[in-house]
Amino acid sequence: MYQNLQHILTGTSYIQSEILLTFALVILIFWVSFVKKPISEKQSNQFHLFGLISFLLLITFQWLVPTRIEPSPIFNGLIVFDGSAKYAKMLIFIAGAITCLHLMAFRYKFDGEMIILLLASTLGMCIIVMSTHFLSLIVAMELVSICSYVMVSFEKKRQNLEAGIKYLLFGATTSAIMFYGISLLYGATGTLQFTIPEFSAGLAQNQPMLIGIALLMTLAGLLFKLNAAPFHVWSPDVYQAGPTPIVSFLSVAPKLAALLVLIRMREYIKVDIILIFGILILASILIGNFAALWQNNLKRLLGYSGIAHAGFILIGILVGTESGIHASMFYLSVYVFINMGAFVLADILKSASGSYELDSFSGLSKQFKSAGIIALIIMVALVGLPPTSGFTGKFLVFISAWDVYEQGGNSIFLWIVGFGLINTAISIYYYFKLPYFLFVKNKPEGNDYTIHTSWLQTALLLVLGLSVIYLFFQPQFIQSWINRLF
Amino acid sequence: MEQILLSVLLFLPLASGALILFLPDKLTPNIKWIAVLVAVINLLICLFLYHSFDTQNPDYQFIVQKPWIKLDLGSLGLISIQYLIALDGISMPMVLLSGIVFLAGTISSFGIKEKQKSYYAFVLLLTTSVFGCFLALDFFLFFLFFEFMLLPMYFLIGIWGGEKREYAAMKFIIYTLVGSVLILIVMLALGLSVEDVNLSKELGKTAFTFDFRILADLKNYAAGSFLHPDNTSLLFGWPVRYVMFILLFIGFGIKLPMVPFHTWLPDAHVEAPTAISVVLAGILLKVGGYGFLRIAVYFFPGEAHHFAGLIAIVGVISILYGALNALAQEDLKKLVAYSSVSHMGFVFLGIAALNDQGINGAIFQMFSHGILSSMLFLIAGVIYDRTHNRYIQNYRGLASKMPLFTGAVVVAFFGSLGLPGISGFIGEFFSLLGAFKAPYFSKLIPSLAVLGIVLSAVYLLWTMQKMFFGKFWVNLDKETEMTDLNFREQILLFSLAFLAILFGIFPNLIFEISSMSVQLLTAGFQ
Repeated sequence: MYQNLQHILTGTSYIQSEILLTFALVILIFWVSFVKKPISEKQSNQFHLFGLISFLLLITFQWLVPTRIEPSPIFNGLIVFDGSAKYAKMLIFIAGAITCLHLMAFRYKFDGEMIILLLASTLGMCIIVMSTHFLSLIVAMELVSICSYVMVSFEKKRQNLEAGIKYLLFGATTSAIMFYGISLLYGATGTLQFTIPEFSAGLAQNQPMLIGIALLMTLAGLLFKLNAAPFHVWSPDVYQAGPTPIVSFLSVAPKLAALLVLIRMREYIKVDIILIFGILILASILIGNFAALWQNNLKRLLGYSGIAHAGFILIGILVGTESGIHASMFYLSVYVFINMGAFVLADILKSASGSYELDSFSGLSKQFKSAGIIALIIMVALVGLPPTSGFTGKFLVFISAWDVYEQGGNSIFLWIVGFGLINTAISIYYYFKLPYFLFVKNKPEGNDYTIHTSWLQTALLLVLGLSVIYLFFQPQFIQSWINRLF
Repeated sequence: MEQILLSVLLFLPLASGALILFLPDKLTPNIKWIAVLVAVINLLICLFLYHSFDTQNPDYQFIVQKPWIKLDLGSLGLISIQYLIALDGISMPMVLLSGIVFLAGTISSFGIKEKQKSYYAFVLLLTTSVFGCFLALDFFLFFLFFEFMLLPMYFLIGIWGGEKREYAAMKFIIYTLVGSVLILIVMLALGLSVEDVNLSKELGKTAFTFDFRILADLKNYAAGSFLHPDNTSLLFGWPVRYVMFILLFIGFGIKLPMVPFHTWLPDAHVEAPTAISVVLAGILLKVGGYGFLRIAVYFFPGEAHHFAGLIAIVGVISILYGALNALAQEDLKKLVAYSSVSHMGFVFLGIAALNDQGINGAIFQMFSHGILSSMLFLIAGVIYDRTHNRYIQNYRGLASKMPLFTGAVVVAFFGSLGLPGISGFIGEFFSLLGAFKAPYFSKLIPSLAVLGIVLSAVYLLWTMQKMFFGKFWVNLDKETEMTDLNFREQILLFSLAFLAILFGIFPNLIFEISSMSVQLLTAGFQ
């Protein structure tokens, strides 16, 4: 009894940031319940500021945790706190902070509940990145999912509700598939903890066919969070209809969480699912790219682009070597800045043209040069051309895949490198639609854009856009973190 | 001194491009003078470098080497990317040509009246990336500049082009990007093959390098590494190094352009404004030829040897197919574009010979084509500026009304069809000479290429006869608009004509520079 208590107490010292997060959540819930509705713009801004301050506190707090961390399993192996968890949490908090800045910069008038949901889903992601046990994973994933469903349909407009329902139905189905897969795995291995040798030993003892199917079903939930094929169907609708800052958050943070679980699992899965997983990656890249070719709505286009990027990110996991995992992590880390920059950009452009449709931006760059240049930088980064960090990410991922192939690995790696690169060339067609409308198209006669940007909007856009270039020239900035923590 | 100038060559256009973007609007009329000033300074630097270039030294000169980006690959080691620029006998003529062509391009841009700020900013950006390609001695750096060329070109064609500019710009960018993706695959494969031994010792872990000098020496490939010449593993049923060479061949071939990947070129040329056509034909195509020589032939000499016949055949097909297409064109600019395809074929033919004459000829051909094709596109521009119509059948007897113009046209046309005394002859002659001497492929191939020269005489002389001789007549009653060259056009065309004749009479001005480096390269093939 005493020992158990002692165990829990020592465990608690590792989840201080989660405790802090819960604390902020509780304060906010009290605060929101005592505010009279409908709230004013000022009050809503105060809520966003509260979110921002909590995230900044969390970042500092997480920063202060010593860099050299021995992996320490806590709560009887439910979760573990190690360097990779620290890194992923930091990035999730940074994404959260950018989201709050985005909400503030564009004066979104949301109730405090939005921030509650944002913090709660962040809490869920923090647990996901630490989880080593299917139980903690499931609980945390549901926490994230439920918060996201509500956040997407928060505005209660028709298309928001439609997107929310699609998201909910799809999410619930994939969760169900995942639970079923987990129950099969439990039956096969007798344990729910997936980072112990018994788990991989149990997998090895059973029919490979059964294990393969069970694993793929388990992966369904993670692929859903990663926005990868074949569980990507929800994303274009959600991206298009959801409130931009929230979509921006959902487009990167859950990916981080799911990627970390995959990294943890990868080590203990000795079953050969490389072929089918590789095909899923190819499918993601192809579906994302080809569907994006026909889009005319910037946010929807980013949704499809997210599917393709999920494929690229997964390549490093498929490779599974140290350099592969580092490459995936690097890719996703810079993708946080690129993609969130793209969503800030979408909102800035919309504030000038009144719509997210690409053709409504015709000739906008003439009046709005800075946005045009940043748009060009971000789109070039999404394609993956130098000199942007998007290129470095792709380069690292592909070189890790190439290395495995060179060492006599599966020839699927060769196909992935080839297909991935050719798809990069195809993707330039749709990514360049935005610069095309901004720079090349002339604006319709007698239609002047009214541009009024606050300093916060400009600063946010500039910082995100320039970080994309900065990280190309200084990849060590992220790489040294990844090397130390993974 | 020279080292600093190399960096100035790269960064002066970049910095002034950025400066132009942020100039106040009231200074817009002066922007073109800034651009001209930068181009003049660059040309002067090129001339100075040309002057101080040591022609007896086959190696790289004026080397600037600084460690730059370090990409960490975890347990595999790291990739060290350097800021490494230098010149040798192969890049020096190209750098000189870039200086000339960019000055000509900038001066011929004076006709651009819309969005001048962004136009000149893009031109200057393009200048930086082209010079970067020719100066870079690190594969990663080269690739960076190579890719970066796409962006300014896309906008220059897309914004200031003709009617179908959007289609042409997109086609250009997708074709070129596919080419660079193929090159990127080779870069991925090379990335983990060659170690910089000194740097590895210094850092205490394996440091892979993209240094051209290290990559070009086969001894530096670790035994058992993927791209080691003795590696017998197959890729799609082919030896690995063969596949890599073919990827480079197609990748740079798209840029050159070679048939059948040339279709972006006529579209891009027809839609691009005159100045951009000049730069595109004058210098951008050369990046393809230079890259093929510098990377494919230097890094994969054995494969170049093995595929020499294929390269020569593709070259000859480009020569003949381009010439036959040019015969059928009614649009003067399209005719010139196809003649570019045809003339650039000689570059492949010369390189395929893999001997001194051939490769020197290919380099000279690139240089000479840079000057002559600039003239040809300027000529098409002169006519288009006056009547906004480029169809050959709309003009007759221009010689009587435009004597100066006709003089320039005579030099450009006869130069292109290979009249001795003008630079075009030397390039084609030496490429053919090399190809006839080469033992790797049948003599039939260069013989067919000679047929290409005949064809080019046919379409050029025919065009000349139709447009310039006979009784003066212009369709749609635009006779009054056919005034002779103005001062700016005279300066441009006559100085280029002067250069074409100068290099035609004194080919040693280029051969002197290139021959030592080429000897060093071809020594490996004897």
